Amino acid sequence: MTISDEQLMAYADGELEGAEFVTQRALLEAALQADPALAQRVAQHRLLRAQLGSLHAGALEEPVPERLLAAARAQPSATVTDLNAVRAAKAAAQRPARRVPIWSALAASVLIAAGVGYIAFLQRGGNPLVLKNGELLASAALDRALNQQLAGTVPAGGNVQMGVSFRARNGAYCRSFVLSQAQRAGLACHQDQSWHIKALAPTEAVATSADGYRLAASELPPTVRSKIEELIDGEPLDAAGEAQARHAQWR
Amino acid sequence: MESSLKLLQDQLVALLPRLRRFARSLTHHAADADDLVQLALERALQRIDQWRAGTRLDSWMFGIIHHAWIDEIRARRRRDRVLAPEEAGEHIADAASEAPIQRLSLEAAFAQLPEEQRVAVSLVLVEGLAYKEAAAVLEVPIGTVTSRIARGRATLSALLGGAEGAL
Repeated sequence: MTISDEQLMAYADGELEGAEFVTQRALLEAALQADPALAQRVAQHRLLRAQLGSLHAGALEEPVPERLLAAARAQPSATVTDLNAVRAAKAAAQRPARRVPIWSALAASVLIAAGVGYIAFLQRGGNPLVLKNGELLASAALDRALNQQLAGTVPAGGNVQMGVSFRARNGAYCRSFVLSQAQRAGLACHQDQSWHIKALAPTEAVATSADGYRLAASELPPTVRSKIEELIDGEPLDAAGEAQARHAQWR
Repeated sequence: MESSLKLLQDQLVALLPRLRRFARSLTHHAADADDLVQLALERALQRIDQWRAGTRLDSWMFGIIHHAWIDEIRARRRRDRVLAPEEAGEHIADAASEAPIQRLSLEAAFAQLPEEQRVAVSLVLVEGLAYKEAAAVLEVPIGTVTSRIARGRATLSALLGGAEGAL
């Protein structure tokens, strides 16, 4: 029997595994046993296939960009045929998008894009946010407020409102805050004697509400809210718990 | 209804790394590849009702990406008509005849393949589809896929300089 290279290739690619190929496979394997040159060609086909397995392998290892995750989770936009489909699409769209689990320098740069420059522009008396070793930390008035200020109290001339305080799963204390002048809400967690900014987002309704000092979680921007949900261990602190935590210097 | 859409989107998310890899095989450019994947995701969700449960989601997505890429190539050709469309093919002939003087890296060699061979090789040898499945994605007969893979393989072996007598 004459054996074509295409047959050898199909054999190397596992295309002759099915029951309908039993005879063809048996003949081919007999020929491979008899002819080392044929066997060598099969080995070459397998080698090339194995080599190609590493092609663009970087795409498998890199984190998937957020825009693609969002696109995969987006609400199907066209050809909605009935009410059930509408509800399904809406429900799907309202679920929070999958979060990238690593708090990375990349995320810090996103936060910076979210408004550090803008805040620095608005805020007098020092930038409330500083970048240190790739991490965004609270500074100046924001750092003082996170350390000292209790929910529901704003000192004269103060621009920071404190929201919920809670213990994160890793044991750190975290507090949500609103920079009213800069119209930004965020979440900071206390680690190594600094307040690390974990989320920061523009806010309108919250900052303009006159009595929104102890903010319900639902009033916070979605990114801040979902960050809280991700980190919180149990329930937020009540007023007594908050005062106690301040007394212990948030450790 | 609701949960099936959610489930499907979970599967799409899980597929994203492979979709990005396949798109890179087409575009040779990471950012272009991600644009292509994003477009394909939008198109897939627009026609999500055409997805048949029980069939391979990866194949379906590869097909949508491939269609989007063909659209893109046509648009590019319209944009710059000056370029000869056979350019890629000439490169291969050159490189193959100059072998084995210079061995190319795998990705450089792969990039030299003509479009049709590159897609077939990518689907079968990189993404692991069966010939039949690749044929369905590309909407061509299985024999066409087989010969594209065979020619693609021969060219790659020659460019990589590792296959005495394979051509």
